[in-house]
Amino acid sequence: MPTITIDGKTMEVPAGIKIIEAARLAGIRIPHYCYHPGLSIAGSCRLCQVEIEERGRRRLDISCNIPVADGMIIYTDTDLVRDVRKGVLEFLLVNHPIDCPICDDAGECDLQNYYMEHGLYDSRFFEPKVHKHKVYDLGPTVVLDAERCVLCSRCVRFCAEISKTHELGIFGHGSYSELINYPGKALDNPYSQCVVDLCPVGALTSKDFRFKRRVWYLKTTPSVCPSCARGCSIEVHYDLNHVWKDPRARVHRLKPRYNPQVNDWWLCDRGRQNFRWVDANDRLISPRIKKNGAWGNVDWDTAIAELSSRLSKIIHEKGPDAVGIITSPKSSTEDVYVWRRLADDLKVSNRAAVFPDELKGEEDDLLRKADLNPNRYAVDLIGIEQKGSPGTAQEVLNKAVHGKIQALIVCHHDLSPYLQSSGGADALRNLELLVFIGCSDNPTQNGAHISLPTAAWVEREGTYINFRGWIQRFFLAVPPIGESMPEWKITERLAAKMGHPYKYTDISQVFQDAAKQIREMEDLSWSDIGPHGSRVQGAGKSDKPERQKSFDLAPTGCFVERVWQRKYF
Amino acid sequence: MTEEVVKITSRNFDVPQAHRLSVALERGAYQGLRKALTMKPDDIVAEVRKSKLRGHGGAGFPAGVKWGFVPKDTDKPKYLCVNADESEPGTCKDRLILQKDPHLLVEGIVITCFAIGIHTAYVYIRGEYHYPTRIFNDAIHEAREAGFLGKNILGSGFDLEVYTHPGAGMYICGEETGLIESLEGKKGWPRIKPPFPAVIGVFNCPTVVNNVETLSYVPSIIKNGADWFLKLGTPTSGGTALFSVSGHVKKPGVYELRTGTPLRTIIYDVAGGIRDDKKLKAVIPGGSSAPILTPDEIDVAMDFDSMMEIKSMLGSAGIIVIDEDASMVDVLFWLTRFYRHESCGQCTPCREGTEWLFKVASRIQVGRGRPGDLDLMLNLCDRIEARTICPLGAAAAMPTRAMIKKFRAEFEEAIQKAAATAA
Amino acid sequence: MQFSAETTEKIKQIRAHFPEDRRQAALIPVLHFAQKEFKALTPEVEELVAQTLNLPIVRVREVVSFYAMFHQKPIGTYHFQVCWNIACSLLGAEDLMEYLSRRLGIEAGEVTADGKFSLWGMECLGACSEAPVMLLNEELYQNLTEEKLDRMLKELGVKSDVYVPEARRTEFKSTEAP
Repeated sequence: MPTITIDGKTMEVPAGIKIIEAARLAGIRIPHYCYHPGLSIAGSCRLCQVEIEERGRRRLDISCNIPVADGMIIYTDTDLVRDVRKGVLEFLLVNHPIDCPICDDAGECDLQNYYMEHGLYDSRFFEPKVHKHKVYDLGPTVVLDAERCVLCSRCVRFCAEISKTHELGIFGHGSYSELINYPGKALDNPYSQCVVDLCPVGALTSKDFRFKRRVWYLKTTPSVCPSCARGCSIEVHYDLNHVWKDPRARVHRLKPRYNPQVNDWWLCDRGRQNFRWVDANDRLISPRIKKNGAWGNVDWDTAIAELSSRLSKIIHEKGPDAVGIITSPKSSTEDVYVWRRLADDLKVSNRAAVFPDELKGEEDDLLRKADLNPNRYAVDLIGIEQKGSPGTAQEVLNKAVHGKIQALIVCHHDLSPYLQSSGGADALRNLELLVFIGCSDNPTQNGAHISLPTAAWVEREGTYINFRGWIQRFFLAVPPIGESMPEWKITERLAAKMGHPYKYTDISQVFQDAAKQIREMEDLSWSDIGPHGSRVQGAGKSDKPERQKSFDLAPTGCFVERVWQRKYF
Repeated sequence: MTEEVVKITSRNFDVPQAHRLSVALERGAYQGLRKALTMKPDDIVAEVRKSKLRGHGGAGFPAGVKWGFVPKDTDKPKYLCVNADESEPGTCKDRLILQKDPHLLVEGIVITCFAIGIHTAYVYIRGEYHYPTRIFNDAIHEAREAGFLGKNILGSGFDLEVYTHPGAGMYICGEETGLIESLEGKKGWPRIKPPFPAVIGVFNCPTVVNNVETLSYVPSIIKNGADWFLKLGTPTSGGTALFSVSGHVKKPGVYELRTGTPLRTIIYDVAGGIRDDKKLKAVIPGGSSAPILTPDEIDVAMDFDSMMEIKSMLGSAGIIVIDEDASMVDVLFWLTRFYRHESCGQCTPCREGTEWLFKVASRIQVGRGRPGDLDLMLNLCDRIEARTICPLGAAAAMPTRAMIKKFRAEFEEAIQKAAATAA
Repeated sequence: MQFSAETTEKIKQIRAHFPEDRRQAALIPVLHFAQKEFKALTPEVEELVAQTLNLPIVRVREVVSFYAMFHQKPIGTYHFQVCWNIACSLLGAEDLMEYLSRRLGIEAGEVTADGKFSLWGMECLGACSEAPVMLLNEELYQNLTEEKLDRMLKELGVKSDVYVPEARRTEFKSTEAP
């Protein structure tokens, strides 16, 4: 491993890394725009220049392109380097519209941040500025303001190298250069909003987030996207303290979080936009019981007592085979585990989680998986479906339709699509007890006898295991809406009421229990699952090329290390 | 004081029809090639290195040294790019080689490719050179028919294909990696280095880029030897050079003279002195990217190292002579307009800096200069030079700085006049 | 829209200069052919070129908008390209440009209403020792004087002092700021 000296500090660094990456290891953040560890090197912003001394000769060069060499001495904070940074910033601000008051990027803008850190000069530009397209519709998800663009070309390289859809280019030459799409060919690919993450300034902004919230009001929490089996690492950005237009809105956007084992730096548009339902007005907010065809809200004790007594009665009269439990690959590992435990204790054999034909999504070789559920791997691992039980949720459902099951507990699923061949929702009218446990209203919930609200994924903790066997923790960002509570707690309270007290007071206990019982999870520990997750035993090899680097390559600059990294992991 | 000048690249310029193979052969074309094919390729490279042949496109890099950077042990194909993108203001000599003595260039190309082991050469000719391109294409055709190009050249077993490739009107495509990018069908955005073209060039393969004039000296170096060539110049830059003389002289033209000829000799003896016998005000000595010289600096020897010593450059040896009636304010305006148009826009300092310099220079030119403009421009030049991907930033900054420093009084006067009229 | 048989053959020959997986290298020569045949590199022409070479169309537009010789709108049948760089300007190029501009009734960057004449200021054309110079279409004219220009204009049908008195004229160079 080569040894280098950077700002007086001598250290060994992995061979072949660039100076900017070595600086990061030393805790030094070199300002930059065009460099991004996931894209090819452009070397065009010229902001990351540092002084490099080799064999007695000192020169200025960009740190994103030069690999470290043994004996190299690097200076990142000399008068010359400071002047270079001031110069580049001044040049960029010459034609940059001072849009800060109306620009979404304010507060997380690298031009603002670097100016405050490395600029701090008085403007001496008193000429007419170059004008380009403003408020330009690039496509369904992104708005372009070409005047704000610093021409770092990250978005162009993303569209060419990552999404491979080639919508964006830089046309013209010299100071007339403009970033824009080919007219008529909208920026419209499944990863289009990644360019908003990449853009260091407010040139590319998300239509979805436009003018919704000032970013300095947003708090962030690490989480895992629940929209498909990839389970991309994300951040949830929310604001509990301000109300603007929609009084219910708490979560305002999702951003990808760097994870070399799962999603690198990227997130698909579908997953990124799949959060508004959390604050929608069809959320279930109170436990309720149907009386005379109408819903009546009750408190949890009443609801659990009612459910417990009805269920016990059916089991007592008709045996445990008259009960069916359909959990869900949308539930967390802990939720599914407690259901299995309860089903085992109640000797309920009709249990399943997954309907056949659930691969409804589009799949590609970047991130998206056809399985639109985050936790199917855990469901298989936990073995909610056991020997003797019907194989799939469809079979459980069929039993319910044909009267072989009298009590059916359904978590999350809307059963209507699966009842088409049996005559629709009416097919379940003969059930003595239909219990729905979930987040939002749907026809199945509406037709149930008891409805119990559960906290959405942003409103609780838990784990998901992705299709490759990577288990990741997600955390509570906003408090559970109304009276909702995490699914495992509901099951635990039901179990206790039915004579099987598990005494779980914290989800980590559920996890530890599951880890003890399930062989593939036996060397996992709740508090040791780090920000990139852990692999369960027996998991297959990665479908992504192994990365050579041995350290965190989260991009610097606008992907600032969040405070949460110290608090949560 | 005109001495007997050896003519190498310009010896056929005044010979009618010298671009035809039959005439060129009569005048000795391809004899250098015949000799080269009997030599070992490494010896050819060594000979060119010994001759201290320097690049005549502007950078002045020793050709033999550049050829030595190409890795020997590679199984990738190697390429030669002939830089015929001549766009440096004040330079008009490569055009003459292309249209008056194309076979000299072809011969130089073949010898060079034989020496380095290259089997495909692209001659990148600027798009505006319609007539020279036609002539050169005809020459390639004739050369191939006669066995000087193509397969098994002159029975040596050496194959070489030479293709012409048009540019489309951007000066930056004369920069070696800008040329490679343009050849590959992209914008002429120069590449960051490392990697260097000798290792990763055209199509990611080892590539040598040489100027038209540079390659045109190779046949005579092989025919007459490196020592002969070196003696024609200075100890560090051998041979002659084609000096393009333009502007306010009596006899503008392209003159082949020994490297190291004093600039004064060129202006007053060869080019006949200032027209209308006016006084000299300034000289741009090596294309517009070379810092301007004042009349008391013109005794300098026109070779690469002497010019570096006085903080200018020989560059492409494009000499533009400026007389006492011209306004430096105008010259700065034309200069900054050129660089702002030609900036490719890829990197921040050049893209924004050349635009800003032009805006200030044009304000001064129309009489709206402000106090502080000159120091501002000087500081901008410092912030552009050596901080860009390619030398175009420096090519804009250095002459701007030189002009303001050496003719400051004239600029100050223009600014003060502006302030007075504004008041 | 299709290339003529002649152009198709020329494209085939150019593509043979490069390895097939590097066919993008043929882009600039092909754009020259296309501009000659179709007079301007409009979006339809860009689409044709992109299909012919199997390239993403955004890469074609990048090249078209970058290079000074490519036009997205038609230029005149007689395109006056006057060098206004240092050597030529020192010898009066700007006066000659103004002369042409007045005689033709257009500014640099414009085409006359009947599409016959257009005018543009060029950077160095590589003929400095014969300054002032200009290209008329593909022909180089050197050592220009007002008299020479006057003779040329007469030959081209500009008999009166100003060619087209009416003001209507169009821009052909829209990717560059004035």
